Amino acid sequence: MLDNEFDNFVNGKLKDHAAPVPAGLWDKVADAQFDSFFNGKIKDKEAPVPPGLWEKITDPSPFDNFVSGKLKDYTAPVPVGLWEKVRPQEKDDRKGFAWFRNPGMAIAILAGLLLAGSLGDYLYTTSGNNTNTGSANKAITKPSQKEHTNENVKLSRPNNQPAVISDPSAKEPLHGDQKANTDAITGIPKKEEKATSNEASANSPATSSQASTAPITPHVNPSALGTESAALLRPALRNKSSFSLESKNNSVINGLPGNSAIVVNGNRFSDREKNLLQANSNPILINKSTTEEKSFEFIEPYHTNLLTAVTIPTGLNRFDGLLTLSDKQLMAGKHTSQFRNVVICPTDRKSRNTDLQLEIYTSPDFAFRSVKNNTASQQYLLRKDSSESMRVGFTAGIRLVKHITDNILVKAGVQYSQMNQKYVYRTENEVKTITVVSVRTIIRAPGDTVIVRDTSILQQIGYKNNTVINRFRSFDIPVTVGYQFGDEDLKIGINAGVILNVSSWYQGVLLDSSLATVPIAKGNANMVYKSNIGLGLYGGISIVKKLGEDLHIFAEPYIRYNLSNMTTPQASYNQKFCLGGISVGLRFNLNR
Amino acid sequence: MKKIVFMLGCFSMLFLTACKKELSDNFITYTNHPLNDTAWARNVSGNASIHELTELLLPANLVDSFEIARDTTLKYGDSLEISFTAGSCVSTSGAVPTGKIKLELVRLKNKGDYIKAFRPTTSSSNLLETGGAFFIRVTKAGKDLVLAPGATIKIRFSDTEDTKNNLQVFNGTENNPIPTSGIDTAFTWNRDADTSLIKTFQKSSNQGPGTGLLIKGYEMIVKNLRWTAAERFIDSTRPKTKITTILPLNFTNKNTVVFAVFADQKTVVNLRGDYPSRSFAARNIPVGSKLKIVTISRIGNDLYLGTKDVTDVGSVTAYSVTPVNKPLKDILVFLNSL
Repeated sequence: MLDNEFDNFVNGKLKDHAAPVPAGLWDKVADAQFDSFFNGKIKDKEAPVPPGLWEKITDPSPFDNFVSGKLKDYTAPVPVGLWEKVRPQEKDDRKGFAWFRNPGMAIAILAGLLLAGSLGDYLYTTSGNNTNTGSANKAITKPSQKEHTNENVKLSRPNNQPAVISDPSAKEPLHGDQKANTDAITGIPKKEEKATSNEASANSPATSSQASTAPITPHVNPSALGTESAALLRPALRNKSSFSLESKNNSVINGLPGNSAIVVNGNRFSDREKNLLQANSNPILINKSTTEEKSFEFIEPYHTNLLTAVTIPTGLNRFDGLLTLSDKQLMAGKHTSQFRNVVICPTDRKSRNTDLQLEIYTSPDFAFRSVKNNTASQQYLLRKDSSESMRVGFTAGIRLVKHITDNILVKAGVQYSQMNQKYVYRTENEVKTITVVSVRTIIRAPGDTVIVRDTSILQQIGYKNNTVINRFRSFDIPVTVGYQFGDEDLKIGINAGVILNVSSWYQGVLLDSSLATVPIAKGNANMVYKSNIGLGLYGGISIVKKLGEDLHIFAEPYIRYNLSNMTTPQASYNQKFCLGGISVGLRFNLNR
Repeated sequence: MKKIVFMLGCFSMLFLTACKKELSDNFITYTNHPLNDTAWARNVSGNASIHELTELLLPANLVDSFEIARDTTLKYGDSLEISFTAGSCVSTSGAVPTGKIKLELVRLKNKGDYIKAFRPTTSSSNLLETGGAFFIRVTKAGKDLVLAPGATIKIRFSDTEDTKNNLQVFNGTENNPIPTSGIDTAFTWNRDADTSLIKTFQKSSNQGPGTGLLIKGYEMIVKNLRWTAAERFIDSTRPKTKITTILPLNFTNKNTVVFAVFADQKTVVNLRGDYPSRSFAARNIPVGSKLKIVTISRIGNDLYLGTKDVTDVGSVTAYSVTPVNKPLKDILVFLNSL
């Protein structure tokens, strides 16, 4: 017989077979003895909730204040070496108040504090809104610590009921109706419940969650509980609808097909949430309120922590009237201790940079002249064109560099520019004098020869091709905005801005209307050139190389275009320059 | 602090490039400009610029006319009288002209006049001391006349200095043919065959007998027309030497004339260009003479005047003179003051 045939045979035989469960089996399975022990001990016990407890718990103000007080100035210490890993070369020895120097970090810390506060408030508020769950959970389901186990035992669970916490709206201990409701909730036969423990208990959870009484949703995190505590609670959980619900859900979650929807407390989880739930495999999570679940997806990175945080261990003695604010503090301390270090990421220093730097630079300039005829004759323009040719000039300046971020910077300063123009013209009848020493042999008489050395001046006449360097000088204020990128060692930037002319003056010669060369002395007013050439546009690409901690060298090819003519409207021609050059200089960090 | 110093140093270095640089120029000489012609000529050509000097500096001549058929005495103030006898002037062919003839007279009174007329007081290389010289030209219908054989002209003229007693008549020997313009570089004075001494006279000035002003002069009998002078050879017993004048290279024998003007006697010596030594020299200069070296140059359209006082011609006989550009008027004033 093949295996397949054997399977079919067995299946046919056993398909409709039903075997009764032996009496006590379930008790054995469920550790009935343990349950009986507990039943005997706490069956008739009820733990009255101290008056005002709920008010203290549910009153958000003290707690908020407490949490706020604890977290307001809280800063998570950055692990040693973290900065070295992030910025291994940076040594921050700057002086001054750190918050001013690094507002980004301050903002990040404040944001972290705000987030933490909001989170705490949110958790608390959420718990407050579901007092029957959150509060109860806090009050009851903290037996993660061993020392609380016995206190948990004190919780009255009559009729094997789970520790039913009163209706938060009543804020009263469990009595009367609440108990009845609890009974109603927990009125599911054990057997049936056990039998269907692995089934989707969609109906049961709905019943429990939709009950008028507060759904019992003890947020017990087995992982957070001690092994013994988990063992102690296991039967109780199993016997109670809500507990069974979570166990069911847990089972469902664990055994859920990939495309199956998870319904917890009437909430339908998406696949993504399901995956997250599966990833966490935390049954407590399943019993979280709708609000928590809804919010769950927004705090994915911390969901584990959140889950842990929800299960704040606390002593049950609070029910004995010890839930004071100090208890809350203790609880909060434990609460916060349950957080894995909320790592506040190192401030993104690139987002804010307060560096102030000073640049000193010089540049060879190449000027490109643009001349347009106004009223000049063609002969004049030809003579001018043949006489003038541009030469290399220079620019030198100093400017401050303010980093808006590590990438964006603003530069402003002062600079001096000098454009040089070669002007060649010819002058006639120029006399050049040369000092010469002449040696003459004079024969005064036969046999009487005298050598006479005479220093005299030789004059020569001719024409002179004069070369004059016309200097077009200006004093400007450059204001640029740049974007730079790269690593610490080498950065490339793009800069653009304007150059405001403060003053311009000229020295040299020019061709007058009679084609004669006339000089323009420095400081003399003339009718040709302006004393202020106005606005210019600037664009450049910079390459910055780090030389030291506070010293950089940079080269910046640039182009400057003057928007207006440098000549006056009365001039016979319009002339303007466009400059190109390569600025080379040093950048000093003034913050160090 | 170190950073600040470093930054300031860098910044100041940037502005070093702002220093003004020297302007460059390209001087190109004119190829044919006289100033750039520093070459000397072995033989000065007739078109050299020195010949332009005579046109500029020649003393003004006196033009007159008289009746040749009778004796005529022409008086020009109280310093000059010229007397022609009837029929003393004939044509070169010996024909006796009739009617009025034209007289052109140039008188060399002072040392500057000798320079202006480029008639140094030398006879060959011998130095002369002069009392005065005349250029007398008589023409009829544009043709030069000559003195008839045996005829003479009596010239009575005053001297600017005290009269010398032993002056003789010297006749100017010109180049043949006589240059129509320019300097007669071959000109020299030659003593007349009649070596008799020239008479001197003294009279009261025509300004008025009461003035007490005396006119002292010479009465010279001339047997030749054109250049004639009352001169004498200087003391030949004193040692003589050769003096040399050195000028800058721009001044050559083509554009410059050099004279030595004696201070204490009316003697003007021309220092001729010495090509080998590129200098101007004159021989037979008495040692210990006090003189003034005068150079006159014509370069292009410019005139240059150079002077140098030599107080004692001695062991140093080479004198460097640097002419300066002078206008003609200044040069004439200077020459008249000599």
